[in-house]
Amino acid sequence: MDRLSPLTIDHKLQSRQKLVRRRRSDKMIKTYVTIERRNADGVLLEKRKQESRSWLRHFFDLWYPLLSNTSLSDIHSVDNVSHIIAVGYNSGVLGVGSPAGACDTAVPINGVFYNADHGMFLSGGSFGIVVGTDDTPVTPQDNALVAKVAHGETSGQLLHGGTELYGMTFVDPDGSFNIRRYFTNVSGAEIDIAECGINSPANDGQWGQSRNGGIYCICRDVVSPAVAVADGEILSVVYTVAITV
Amino acid sequence: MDAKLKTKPSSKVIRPDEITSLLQKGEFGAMLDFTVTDKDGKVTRQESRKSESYVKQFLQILFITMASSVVTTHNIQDTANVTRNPIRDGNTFLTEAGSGNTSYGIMVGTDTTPVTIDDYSLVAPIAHGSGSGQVQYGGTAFGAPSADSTTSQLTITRNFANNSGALITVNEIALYCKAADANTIYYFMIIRDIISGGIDIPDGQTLTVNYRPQATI
Repeated sequence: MDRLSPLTIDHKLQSRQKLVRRRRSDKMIKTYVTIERRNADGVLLEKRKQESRSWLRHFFDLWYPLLSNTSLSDIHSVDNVSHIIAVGYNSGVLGVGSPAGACDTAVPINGVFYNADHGMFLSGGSFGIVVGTDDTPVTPQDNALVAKVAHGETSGQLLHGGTELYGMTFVDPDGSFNIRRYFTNVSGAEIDIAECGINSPANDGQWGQSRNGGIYCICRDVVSPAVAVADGEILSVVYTVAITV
Repeated sequence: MDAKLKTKPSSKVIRPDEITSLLQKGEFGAMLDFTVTDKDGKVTRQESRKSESYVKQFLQILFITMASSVVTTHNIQDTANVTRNPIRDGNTFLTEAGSGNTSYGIMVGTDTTPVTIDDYSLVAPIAHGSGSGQVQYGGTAFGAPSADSTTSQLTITRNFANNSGALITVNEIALYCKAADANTIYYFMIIRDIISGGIDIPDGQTLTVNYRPQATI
């Protein structure tokens, strides 16, 4: 089958405020979210796959310093605090692999975990793949999941496993990898998951004062209808990032 | 039987506060803008299109970045077609090449070979200079991230001035970035586009290329 040509905008028409869509085209990068719910024995109870539509502006806020070697200021973290996003050398931005929820870690600086004077120490449950209970529609300016489920074993909480990256595959014209996290409900009651996303930390690059860094939501999706995770059940969320040439 | 496109041309009004995009809902991609201006700054050609192709190295370097990998075995092909294993460090994804630097940043070439996911470099990159077949590479500039109600983006820009004495046609455009292992910086192509029909840069004129990575909701 013939491949479709890229879309083009004719700027002569654009100057008359017209955007011309001449052809349909495949997406460059598609992201899928696969959600599975299993019982305590690992038996699959429910599986959903939906297209993620929601890479947020904060993805670009964190990517920009890596591309340009220029810091950005006044970027709001998940707790709506303004921060600097430092250049790549000492910021650790766009890292999403995380330890399990109860495990603290330091934001990597230059790819290395430094000591408390230099690292921004975080709970593993605060970044990586995250889930929540709110279904407010996504906007590019979202700073966070609206109602993130905390790591834990008490009411309204889920045990967070680590966020892992795996499964890099390429078969021309396609390529993909996966980002996955498991959540276990031992809270004693059902929890309805209506949103999921990806949080990434970023250090502000202030050596010796680097705990001023923040966590940023780079992707958010509404899960509709919500997935009801009963007490004792295990939820897995997998983001698959795929390119097609 | 030849396949026929059933999609009819359509148009919509662009609001002044709207980021120009041709991406579909939920797509992560890039727009590619190019403008040719004469020595007086008059625009002789201007066009925007959807960039075609992030290639294999983009996904591999994104993986390294997201995994904060300090040890990797992804065997990533650099622009010299040598397999490397870069780690996540301060060089990862850098594209801020200065004037005259043809190792990274936005690059231009003359070849028309279609893009494949395995492409690791431009097929026929144009050298920096004012000699025959050369263009003068400007420094790479950036536009900070922005967003409207549906689209987020940032902008990477570079100028290419033709003072070669003759017309030069650009048929391929790419974005190269840095990444390094523990000892050495290497260069990797992360986007490549073929421009059907090419972009003519007459002698004395300048081509400006924007890559605008975007995401839509």
